[in-house]
Amino acid sequence: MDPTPALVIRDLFKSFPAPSGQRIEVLRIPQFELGAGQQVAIRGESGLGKTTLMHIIAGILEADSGFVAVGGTQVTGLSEAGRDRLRAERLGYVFQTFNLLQGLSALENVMLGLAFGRGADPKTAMEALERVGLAQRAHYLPRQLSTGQQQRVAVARALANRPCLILADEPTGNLDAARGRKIVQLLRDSASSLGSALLVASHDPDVLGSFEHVVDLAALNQVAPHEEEL
Amino acid sequence: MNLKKPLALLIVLALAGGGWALVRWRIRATAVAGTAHDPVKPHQDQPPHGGTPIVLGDEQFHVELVRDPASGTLRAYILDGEMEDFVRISAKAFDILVDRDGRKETLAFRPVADLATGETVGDTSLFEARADWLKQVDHFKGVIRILPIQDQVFKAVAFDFPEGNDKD
Amino acid sequence: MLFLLIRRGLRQHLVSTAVAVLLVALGMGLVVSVWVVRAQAEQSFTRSASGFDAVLGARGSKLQLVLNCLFHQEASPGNITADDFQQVKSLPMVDRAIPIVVGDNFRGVRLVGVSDDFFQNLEYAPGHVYSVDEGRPFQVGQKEAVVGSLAAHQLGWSLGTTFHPFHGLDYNPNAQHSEIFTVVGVLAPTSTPADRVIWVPLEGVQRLGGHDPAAFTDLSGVLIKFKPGAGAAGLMLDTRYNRQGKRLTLAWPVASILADLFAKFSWFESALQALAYMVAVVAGASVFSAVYSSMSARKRDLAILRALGAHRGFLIAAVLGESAGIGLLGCALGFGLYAAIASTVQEILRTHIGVLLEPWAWNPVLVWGPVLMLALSVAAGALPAWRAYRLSVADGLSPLS
Repeated sequence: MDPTPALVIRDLFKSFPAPSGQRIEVLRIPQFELGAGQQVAIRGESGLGKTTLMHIIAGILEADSGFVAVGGTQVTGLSEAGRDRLRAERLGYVFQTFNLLQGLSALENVMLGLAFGRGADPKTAMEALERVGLAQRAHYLPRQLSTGQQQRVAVARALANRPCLILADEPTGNLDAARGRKIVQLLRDSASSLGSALLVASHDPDVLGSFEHVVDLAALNQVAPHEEEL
Repeated sequence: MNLKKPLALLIVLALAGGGWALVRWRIRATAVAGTAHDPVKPHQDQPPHGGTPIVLGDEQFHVELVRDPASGTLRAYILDGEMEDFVRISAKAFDILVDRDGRKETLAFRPVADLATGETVGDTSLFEARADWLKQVDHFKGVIRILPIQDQVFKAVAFDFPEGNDKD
Repeated sequence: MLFLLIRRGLRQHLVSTAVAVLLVALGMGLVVSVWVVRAQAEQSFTRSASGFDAVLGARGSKLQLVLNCLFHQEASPGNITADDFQQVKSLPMVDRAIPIVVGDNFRGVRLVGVSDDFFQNLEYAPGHVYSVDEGRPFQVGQKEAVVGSLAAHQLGWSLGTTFHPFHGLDYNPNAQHSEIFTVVGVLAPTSTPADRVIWVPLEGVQRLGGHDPAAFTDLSGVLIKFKPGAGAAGLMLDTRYNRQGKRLTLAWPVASILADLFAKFSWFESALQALAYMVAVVAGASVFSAVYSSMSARKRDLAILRALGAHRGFLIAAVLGESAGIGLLGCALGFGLYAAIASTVQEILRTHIGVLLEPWAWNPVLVWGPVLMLALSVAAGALPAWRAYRLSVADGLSPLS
């Protein structure tokens, strides 16, 4: 296994402008690391900055200051094109609300996970669908799939480009408890088989209970909890 | 401040305005192109047969002289002041006194009837004179002795052939 | 993947896409139709009359003479005499002079009396002569007819068909002549108004029962062809007949007279052009509306694409690709609409005038028409593309409330 850490965070600081013009501090994280292939859950209630942290790691948002690196590639200070490429080639992202494109089939949605990196290859996409047990539903549209199946397609899309780090933000938020457990297990097993690190943000006790390593965001983040006015 | 709606409206107005400007430009271009040039519209003050114009009086009328060396004829067309319309007159005949390098001649012009134009003797714009020397001589001095046109009489109108007598 | 997204995007908002496509098609179809039909009609009219340089007739409108003697429309402004014909025929600059007389019809199809040298190497267009396809030319003095190809088809006539002419230019069932004519030939198609009339000997019209004996030798007009190289002939005769003379009219040059006819209708053409352009502008606005509303509804999809690694340029390409897709589909359909309009106009002109349109003959508008509509469609996608470019990914990914 590659010893390069999957994720390194140092002195991360993020704030947002309030309507009044003042800036509201959201994240101040001195240090956090995720080893290659490591699987960690971050506990935190809604509004504490879990999504903001995920977005900064993925390069969707820019930090005010600090250092973030994914798989040895520095994210902070990277150009927008560089961050786009990072997401396409090195990251997998599972959203709470699945975020599938409704007009594309399951296979085509998974191909999107490859399209901006190594290229949309139907064969690779089908392998990813097989890994989540949905090969036979490859040509179904999202509205023709159950919520659990839709989230499995989202997982397949996140895995398709064999990322070094998978981010999952409240992956069971729209699922019932039983399906939620299955998705978490699927995520963990898939990440393990690919050698990808996994970082799951959740406030669900069922999710958190299935991880050996759970980190409290409140302990990680030196900013006092308050309402995020985003 | 939400600028999206005003910007969208601006884009639509710009498209409509641009389209209208395009329409107006094309209408103007078509109107210009549609003005067909009439090749038979006469130039002002140019004799219709390309002959020699002789001014009568204060440009009230003209006589256009056209020489045909093959037949030895000299045709005289009576024209209006702008040399656009032919003027039919009732004159039975008129003479032109010729001085060709010292030699004196008289050309007698007779009225010509033409079925094509409907002109008859006594109502014609065309007069013709014939002389053998006209086959070789292409320049001379002439004087129209007396030429009545409508209620005017023009006397002793001098000219050079083929230059004419227009001082302008 | 880009083309897949564009295709699916167009399909996802099918109604607004279809409306925009139809409007683009209408805009393009109208723009191309107005341009081509006008240009083709003028060319076809001029080509139909290109065999003759001038028409001599009674004093009156030059246009009326051309329409009567060459296009077999209208009445002649009056009659001219056989002497007038002989005089113009004997002019040194005149190559061919063909006398024409009209005044009778068969069920609305005009009878045209003509001399028999009409069938003797007379060109109606460079390299093309009038000739009899089936049968033979009529004989002078006989009650025989050569029928134009279109007229033969319309009347269902063939060799040996007999008929009674009717008096006048318009059909009146009570004005039947007692004389009987026999069809002895069918004119080879010329794609000119000659195809729509019945050709008979001059005397066949002049001496029909009931016609004025004093006018037995009168003519409706003379078709004139100048000798090659007789450059000033037209101007000379125009001066003589039209300016010096007051009895006859020489319609010359035929092409310019026809151009004046079309120029008279330039206001109508301008109105049609204005309409076509307004439809094109409305089409552009509908493309804008379709793409703008589509992008607004798919803000989340665009954010997902960015989150998956698509760069901003990809989103712009996707949006402009959709508007271009609408433009391309509309232009393809627009050609179909143009084909329908052009074939309708073609049939009308062929049947009523005998003039043949060529809708697919080269005209620059066949290229710049669709290019204009495509450019308009792409331009209409500019604002939605800019919005996609400016999209905040984090905002776009926010969970729906």
